[in-house]
Amino acid sequence: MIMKYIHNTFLFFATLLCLACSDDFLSLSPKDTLIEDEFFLNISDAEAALTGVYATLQKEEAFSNVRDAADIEWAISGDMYEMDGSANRIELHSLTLPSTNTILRDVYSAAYQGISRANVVVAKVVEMEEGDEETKNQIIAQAKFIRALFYYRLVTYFGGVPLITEPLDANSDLQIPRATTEAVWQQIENDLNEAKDVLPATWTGNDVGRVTSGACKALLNKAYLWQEKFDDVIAISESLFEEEVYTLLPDYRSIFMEENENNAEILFSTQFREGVDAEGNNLVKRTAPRGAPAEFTGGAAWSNFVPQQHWVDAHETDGSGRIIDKRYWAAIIGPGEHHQDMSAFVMPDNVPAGWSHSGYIMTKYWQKPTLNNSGVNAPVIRFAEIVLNYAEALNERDRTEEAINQVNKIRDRAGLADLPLTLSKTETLDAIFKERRMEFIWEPTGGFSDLNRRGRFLDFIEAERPNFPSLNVNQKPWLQTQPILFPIPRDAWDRNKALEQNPHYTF
Amino acid sequence: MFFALVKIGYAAGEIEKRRWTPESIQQRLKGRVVDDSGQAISGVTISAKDGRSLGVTNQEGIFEVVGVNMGDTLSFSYIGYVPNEIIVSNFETLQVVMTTQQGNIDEVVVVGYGTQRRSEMTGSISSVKSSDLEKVAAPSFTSAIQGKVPGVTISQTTGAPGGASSVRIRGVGTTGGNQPLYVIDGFPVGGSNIAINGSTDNIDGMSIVNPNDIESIEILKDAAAASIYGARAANGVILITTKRGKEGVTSADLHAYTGFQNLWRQPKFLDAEQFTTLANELYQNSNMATNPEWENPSSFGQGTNWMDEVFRTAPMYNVDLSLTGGNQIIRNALSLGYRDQQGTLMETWNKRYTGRANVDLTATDRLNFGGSLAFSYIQGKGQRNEDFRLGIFNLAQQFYPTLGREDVVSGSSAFYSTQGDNPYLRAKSMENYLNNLRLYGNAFGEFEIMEGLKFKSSIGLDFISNRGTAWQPKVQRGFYTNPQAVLSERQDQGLNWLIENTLSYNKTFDRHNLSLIVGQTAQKNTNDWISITAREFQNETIRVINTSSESERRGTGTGSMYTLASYLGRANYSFDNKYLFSASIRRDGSSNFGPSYKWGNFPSVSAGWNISEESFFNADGAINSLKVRASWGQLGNDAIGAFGYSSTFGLGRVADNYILGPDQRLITGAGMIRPGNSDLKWETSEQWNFGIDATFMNGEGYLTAEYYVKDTRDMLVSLPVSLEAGFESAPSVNGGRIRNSGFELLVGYGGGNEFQYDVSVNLSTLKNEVLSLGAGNPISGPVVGFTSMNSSYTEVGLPIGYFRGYVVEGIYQSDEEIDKTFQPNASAGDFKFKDVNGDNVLSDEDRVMLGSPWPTLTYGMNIDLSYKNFDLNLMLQGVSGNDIFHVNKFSTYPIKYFGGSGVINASADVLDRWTPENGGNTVPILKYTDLNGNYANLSSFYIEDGSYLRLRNFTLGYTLPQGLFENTNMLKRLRVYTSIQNLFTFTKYSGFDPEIGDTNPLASGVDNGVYPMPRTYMFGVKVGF
Repeated sequence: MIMKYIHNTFLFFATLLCLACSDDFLSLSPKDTLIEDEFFLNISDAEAALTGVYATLQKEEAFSNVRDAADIEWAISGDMYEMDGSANRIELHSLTLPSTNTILRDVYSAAYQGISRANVVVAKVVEMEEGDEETKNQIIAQAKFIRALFYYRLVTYFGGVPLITEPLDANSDLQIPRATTEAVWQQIENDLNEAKDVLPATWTGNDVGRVTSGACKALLNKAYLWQEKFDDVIAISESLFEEEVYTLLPDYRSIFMEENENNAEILFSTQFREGVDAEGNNLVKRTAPRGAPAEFTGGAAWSNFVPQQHWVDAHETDGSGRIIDKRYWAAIIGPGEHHQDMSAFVMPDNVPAGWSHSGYIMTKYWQKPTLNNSGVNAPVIRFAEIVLNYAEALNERDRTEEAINQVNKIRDRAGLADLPLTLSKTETLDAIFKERRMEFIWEPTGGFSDLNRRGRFLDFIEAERPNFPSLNVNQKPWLQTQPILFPIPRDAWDRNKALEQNPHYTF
Repeated sequence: MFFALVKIGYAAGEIEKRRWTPESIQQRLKGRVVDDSGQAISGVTISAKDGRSLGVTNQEGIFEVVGVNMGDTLSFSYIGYVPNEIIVSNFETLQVVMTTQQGNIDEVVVVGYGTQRRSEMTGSISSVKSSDLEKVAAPSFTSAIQGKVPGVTISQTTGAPGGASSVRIRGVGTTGGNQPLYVIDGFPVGGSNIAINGSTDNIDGMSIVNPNDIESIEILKDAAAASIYGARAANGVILITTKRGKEGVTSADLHAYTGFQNLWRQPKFLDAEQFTTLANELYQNSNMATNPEWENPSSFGQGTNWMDEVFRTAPMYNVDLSLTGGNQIIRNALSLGYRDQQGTLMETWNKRYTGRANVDLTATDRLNFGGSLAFSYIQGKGQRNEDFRLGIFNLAQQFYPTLGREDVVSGSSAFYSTQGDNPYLRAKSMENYLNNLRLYGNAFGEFEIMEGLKFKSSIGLDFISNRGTAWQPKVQRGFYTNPQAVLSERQDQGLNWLIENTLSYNKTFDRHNLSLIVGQTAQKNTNDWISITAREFQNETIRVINTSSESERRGTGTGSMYTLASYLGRANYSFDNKYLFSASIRRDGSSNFGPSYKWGNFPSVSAGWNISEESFFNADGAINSLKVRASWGQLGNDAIGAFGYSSTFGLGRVADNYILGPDQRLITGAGMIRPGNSDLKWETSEQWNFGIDATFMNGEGYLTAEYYVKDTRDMLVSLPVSLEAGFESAPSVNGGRIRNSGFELLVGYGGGNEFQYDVSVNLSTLKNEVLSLGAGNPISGPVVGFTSMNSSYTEVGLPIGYFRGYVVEGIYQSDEEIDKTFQPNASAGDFKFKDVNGDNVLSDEDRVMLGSPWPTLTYGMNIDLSYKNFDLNLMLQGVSGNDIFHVNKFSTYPIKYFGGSGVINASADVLDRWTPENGGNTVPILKYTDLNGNYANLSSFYIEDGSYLRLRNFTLGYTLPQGLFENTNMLKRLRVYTSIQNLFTFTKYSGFDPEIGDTNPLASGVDNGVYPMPRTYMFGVKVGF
């Protein structure tokens, strides 16, 4: 009896022992993530990975019109006032530009996160056995557009940056030196030229919002313009016009309205949805006046950036001094003025400093009270920019009259008188930049980068920024380069010692 | 403290006699020798009156002598014990109890998978006994052993009730997981801290164990002691043994204490008049309009002291009840405990309920069973800190002394921060609760197959259920708005099981003593959680998910698993108790590693020599006992996220999803979380240890000295990867090598009769050096939120996680002094940074080592005195040679609000600011914009000496004279005591408390506004029935 008991006991423990001797016991699969071997097997995996690439656009540091459009483009050009005076923002608009600036670092790092995901899609989808070629090519083309969009951001802000087009892993050499500016531009052009031929002119149904061939052409247009390849700008613009998909909307405000998203003027915008699931953005919170009644703002309202008086004063007025530019009335509210969509909301005559230092608030994005994240899309490239880019290229090729006609399309919509066709080439260029300034406030174009592209930045701020003397521009040698480049972030150099700093900056 | 005083109440040389018969015949006599805690003593020599050796006890303490006559005197002797003589009066089985000598070096010590006598040990193990724990009525055992054990550095990470601490054994050898392995009664359990949902106050994961239940704590420090725990032992192992029932001892003990806590120190902040004066000065210096409300500073007077509003004197209560009893067949110990501790910060508290039942059953001579079942239920309320912002403690430092307790900010944002909140109202409105249930226990059976050969099998289970509730009402307090009420409910559930089978063999023949053990274990952890966040409540008094707006509910959840399989073996051999040898090996397989590197082997060897056992040694001389020992071994660390060997893709996370189409459809996306590293393997820590144990001055003095070198190779680390790689998380790699070396000393002196004393000092030195970082660049520690300062820097040749930045040489007294090429944005009153490399460019090369968070010396002093019925314990503890990155100054010095517009209150130290009239060299000029980066740059301004000496415990007790209870059978013992913890602290540190623990070695010694440590006053009573 006892022997049998002992025998059974041993049998029991011998079984337990076997549990441990098997490697199966130690080979687990994650419950919440996919591992490499289980991924990129079919089209739906590829689609999911592509969605992950699109998702990188939604960060505030990426293409959400916050870090780029507000902190960098419009606060540096000085047409918008940064209300908070937090150190990282001051470093930008005071032009001290240390390499430790967190906004520049985050923009740099967010761009490479997008590029990294795009590289994985480009490389892995090609290798996939399943799926039809057309779908796979379209997936790759969309990833290439987004890769080009991020490289455009990097090359225009930092100059030649490390050019990475292949997926990296833990064993890759990550001490990657900077490529030349030309090499980065070449990669952007290659990606876009490939993508534009693969992607459709329009998407339908639930695919609306994806990259189109028009978007590729528009970004290519911007790339050519920055490089001053004006003939290419003209050609690619005309190729886009021939598609007859995109046009100027007659009503300026309707371009931005949440219920009119992905309209004919939008070549590319980052897509958002309102709600608590974090698929929205902070554009309403960042624009709506801080301290205004919650019935209009929805709750959190920070008015981080407000239009400056000198920008408002730059609008064309009638004899009585009233602004005639419809764009002002469609996108700005000043003291005593009604909100465009919520007429019950009137800016006080004496706007509290907490609402707006200048008394003005921009309402392109603040269209209704928003409790959490807002669903308004962030316009990245719109048709008006292509029209003005086309005009600039025409003018540079001495087709000034044609250029003025293009500018007048923009002015017509704004309710402004046509410019005379007799303007000189220089006057026309000035007029184009003036239109950009009035057209694109708090969008990723029209501010610092545009001015910088043509070497107009220092002249512009000298003429326009009231605090110009206190900026001590002459003591900032990094502002004397053409174009002005931002410092390579110190955090990037901390980890990648192969990086060299841009002139006049230190790590 | 293993050199314990003789326990009060134990009679020396007590002999248990059973049925006396006066026959005088020569017979065989059997018996067993145990110590006063019931542990068997092996190797006890039994000799006749004439000195003739009759035999020795075996591993079980059992002896058998022949040729004994009734009336013979047998003497029992063993090193470290009072020799014992008994007269043979019968031939029944004898039970002989031997008591320890003063300064005993031969207590029984719990080791991995067994026990050992200290005289036989060759590894480095420190023990803390229950009698030592009793002297410090601490809420958790980690705080009770703080400062008692050389080589173990414990710092509280928060002063929150029940708060977590960091425990580091012999330095930090890795940038990754660095907490020791905790083993409760042989069962390795997770000791990670418990988070309160919605709060940043963590609860000590080991507070699941009531200190009152603990019999002993053993800290395995070197490889010889710890390598039997293989893959998880690299950071040391802490064995916790709970009290078990003993044969023939029945007792009921009640321990209750009550007390209160308050802040031991409160640095000064500006009062209302000072604040408004300085704020006006700041605006004037910046050529900005001043606030008309603050035109007349003197009219504000003192104003509100926000520290006084949010901190309080907080009561605490504790009751523990324990029952033990047993006979030859069954022995039980049962305990229940309740503790209620309020926090010194308002609206924080912690309640703990614990229970434990330990049972041992002797079924037959050869078959034993045992087991334990314990639970702990912890409830708590915590507050949240967000990087200088919106934490109650942070806000109390920042909020306006000009405003009253219930005032909110709604003034002009040119002067007031729009991102703050009234700390008092905020604390009242936030409700973050914890409900943590832990149920754990094990059961074992042990069968003696033949004499000395035993098979033991045990099963352990550990169940965790953690429910967190965070509530914030819909509220508008001036600028602060929460537009919707938010309720977040999170439920974590985990199960951890362990199966263990061991075969052990013990044999003593002649003077040879051999013990062997081989075994196998398997362990599996699973964890799952779900979380629901709901908003918009119809009626905010009913706070359940069901009453929230249905469209505003969001759920998330996931899970994880971990498995470990192991084989282990150890051999101990000693000859004549003089020459000691030990070797062990463990082979571990972990699911955290890929197919080619799943398994790792962790060997150790060690040897010792009891010199005092040699015939040439004169034990009656100056030195009474002396042992030298040495060990070498390897330990592992697998504390790295699972699946590091494979690239992982997240699916459906916010960062992966996108919106498309006119209906704004959510499209589920995927993104690579972390690239895989197929070469990922164990981190190995290789350790040498040399030690000496000695007693002297008639055994009243004792000393243990050790020197160790611990090298961590193939350090598991997520090296910072180039931003250009675009990885969401850095891949795990084996990179780097870190050396910790140090000297540890424990020396003490104890003795006395009516007046008893035991004074001991322990100290340990630590040198930490990064020997290599593989191919990687230096590692910048995490960025301190809201700043661009890295909390630390790690590079070859310097200690891990040191502080690096500019050196402040003073303050520019005039504009003329400034070299504009060096500091282009500086003006008079700004910091002058040092041009370290002399190239006249302020760059990274001018950043130097400013300090290290690691104490080069930690020390403690323990004084136990008793006279008649009074007893006194003093415990001093200190560290020196370490620095603190006082990053809290980032928010408490500039007055200008760091994260936006307006100004906030500041430390009273700012009164020493630079002004054109008075100059000054410590605090820069007050300015709205800090273009020079006085505060934005990590510099020597932030680094302070972190040394301190603290009277951690003062206890005065009185035990009522025994005679009082002679007439009652009920009461056996009654002791009352009063105790003060953190009575005084000597430090130069200017913050709230120099004791700053952090679980991340790359962010250690960083004070960003840590919930300060309290001083505690207690009164307690202990009654034995």
